[in-house]
Amino acid sequence: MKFNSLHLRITVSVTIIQLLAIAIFLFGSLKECKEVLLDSQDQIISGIAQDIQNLLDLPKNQLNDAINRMVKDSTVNRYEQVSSKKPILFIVWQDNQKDNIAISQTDNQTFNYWLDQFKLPAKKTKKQHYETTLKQDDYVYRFTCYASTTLPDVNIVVGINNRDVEHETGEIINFMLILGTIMIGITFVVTGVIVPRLLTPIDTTSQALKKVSLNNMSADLLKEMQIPTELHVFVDSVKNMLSRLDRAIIQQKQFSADASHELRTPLAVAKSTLQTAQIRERTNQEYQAAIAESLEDISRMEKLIEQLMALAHLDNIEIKTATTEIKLNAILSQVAQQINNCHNTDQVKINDMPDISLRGYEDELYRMFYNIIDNALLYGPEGHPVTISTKKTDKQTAVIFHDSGYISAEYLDHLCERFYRVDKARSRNTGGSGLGLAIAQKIAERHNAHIEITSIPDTGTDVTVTFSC
Amino acid sequence: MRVLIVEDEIKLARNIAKVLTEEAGYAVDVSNDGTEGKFLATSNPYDLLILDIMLPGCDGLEILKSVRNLKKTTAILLLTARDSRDDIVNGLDLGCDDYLTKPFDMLELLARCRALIRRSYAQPYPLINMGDICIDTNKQQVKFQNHLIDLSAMEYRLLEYLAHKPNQIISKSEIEEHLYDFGAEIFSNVVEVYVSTIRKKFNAVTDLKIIKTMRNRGYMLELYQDEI
Repeated sequence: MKFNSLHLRITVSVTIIQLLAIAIFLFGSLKECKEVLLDSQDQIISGIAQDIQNLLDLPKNQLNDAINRMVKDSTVNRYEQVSSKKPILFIVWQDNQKDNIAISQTDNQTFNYWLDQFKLPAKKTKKQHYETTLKQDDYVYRFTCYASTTLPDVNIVVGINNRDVEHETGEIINFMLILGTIMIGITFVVTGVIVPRLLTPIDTTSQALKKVSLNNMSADLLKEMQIPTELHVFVDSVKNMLSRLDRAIIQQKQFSADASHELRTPLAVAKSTLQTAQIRERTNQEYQAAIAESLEDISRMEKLIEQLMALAHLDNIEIKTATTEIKLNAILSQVAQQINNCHNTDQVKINDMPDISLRGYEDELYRMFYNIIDNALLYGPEGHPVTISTKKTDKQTAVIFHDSGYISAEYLDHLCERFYRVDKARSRNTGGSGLGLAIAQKIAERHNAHIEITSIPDTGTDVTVTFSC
Repeated sequence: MRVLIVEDEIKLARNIAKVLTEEAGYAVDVSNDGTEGKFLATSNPYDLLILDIMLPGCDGLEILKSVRNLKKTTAILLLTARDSRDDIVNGLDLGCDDYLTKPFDMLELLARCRALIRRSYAQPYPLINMGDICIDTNKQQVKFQNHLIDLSAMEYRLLEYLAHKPNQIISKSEIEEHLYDFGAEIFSNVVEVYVSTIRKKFNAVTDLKIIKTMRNRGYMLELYQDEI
């Protein structure tokens, strides 16, 4: 069992709780027991004190002997519990008298010395009974101090050692310890057996999770199971995670399928062109045409691969806030100029705009604007201008690309999806890869910006990139 | 044999059409659009359809389904960039006869087309033997006994078509439909002219009248009585 095993933790906790319970019970019962035992002992010594008082009528010179005899007798007769090995100590004296009326006869002189010492505090108290526990040798002694009711000046102190009580409680402790150890042992074993059974839902859940693989990731696996309430949150989050993963994997699969499709097509075209030329003798002109066409297809593939790499790169790099200040105007005019030069037109126009700078990555922003304008030129009506304007508020900076083309609403939401094309047949001829806006979207995300496309018939299409400052 | 290619990559469709015409002597129609392709495929008696799957307008599988829904047994080859097992299984299960993924080898495509057409006329063996006449459909050669008969492309197409359906009367219009593509201008007596030139070329080596004319009904390539 590992330390962080739930099984072990539960078993240990239950055992500790049990241990505490036993300890509290032990402590409580021990205290109660001791009190009862001490009570009965007190009664014995109070009884003896009473007897001593009854003897006080005797002449003084006989008293000591008589009391000693009586105590001895009562030790044997009346109080069986008091063994002879446990001598009853007593001292009887009269206030302001140096000599004692009677004192217990013991072999041990320290007792008598000690009993003498006892006179002082006893005298001071007004209580009829005076109980104290004092240490003498190895035993604890318990005394009853008794002021005689008949002879006002006479004090009687009777003491007995506590060995019996100590012994009894010791036995109880031993018994309890053995019982407790056995109980804890049993608890440990029983919880050890029961806990794994209680934990079976966790096992079942993990078995179900084991079945999850790349090809089988639907959260349905966990649907049919009876899950204890405590595991609901866990299982729910696993389900959520699974469905998120599933979606991501489906997207990824779709993307690689699309990418391979997009690459296979120009490859197939180029191959077929070359094979058609090769299959039989052709004129020089035909060969030249075939080579030119194949080169065209190869550059299409090159462009596609370049864009795929760009997208993969954007997917992989971590999102970090750019710190460089970029002049928006400068980038936009660069892009516009390049596209105009490339297409040999002046279709791309920039409206007067204030100086705006924002934090970002220059090459990425360049690419984003390029893709948006390129897209507008590719798919917009031929020859129509694309106008760029900006709008700045306190919180936002918007760059608006306007062209006169119209895109119907059903396509608008999909425009930024990878490989999405409104009109496939046309895009092949225009050479679009279907990745331009997807890349733009990705770059916008990295710049904490978003791209919105709106289109109104007769007015045209606006692509708005909004940067939040 | 008449073939329809539905493929939105204009250059690719053009290349395939060129090779099928030049190397196999087929009459080839090309459509770059799914909707048009579907119309052509369902309204003309093609011997083979070559369909791309991802097409503008109407996808290749849709065309495949509508052709099969009309109970047409035309051989269909799917030529697509989709190469996953599921796509292939799905295509074949929908009723296509063959599946080729892009990029493909032109010679392989050609061989597959020949095989599909042979099979559709229940003539799986590439050599058609009819007594003394032997037609090698791979080399497009016709022999009578050991004499090589030199036929033009159209003459060969006509003879091969008749040989695929021996001892059957084949109408003039059926011949025209299978030998000419959609754009070809057909003169009213063109079949008669080709039949007579074929006969002439055979008459150089034999006295047999190779192709029988069934008046007002059509033509028939007949096996010799003793060969049946």
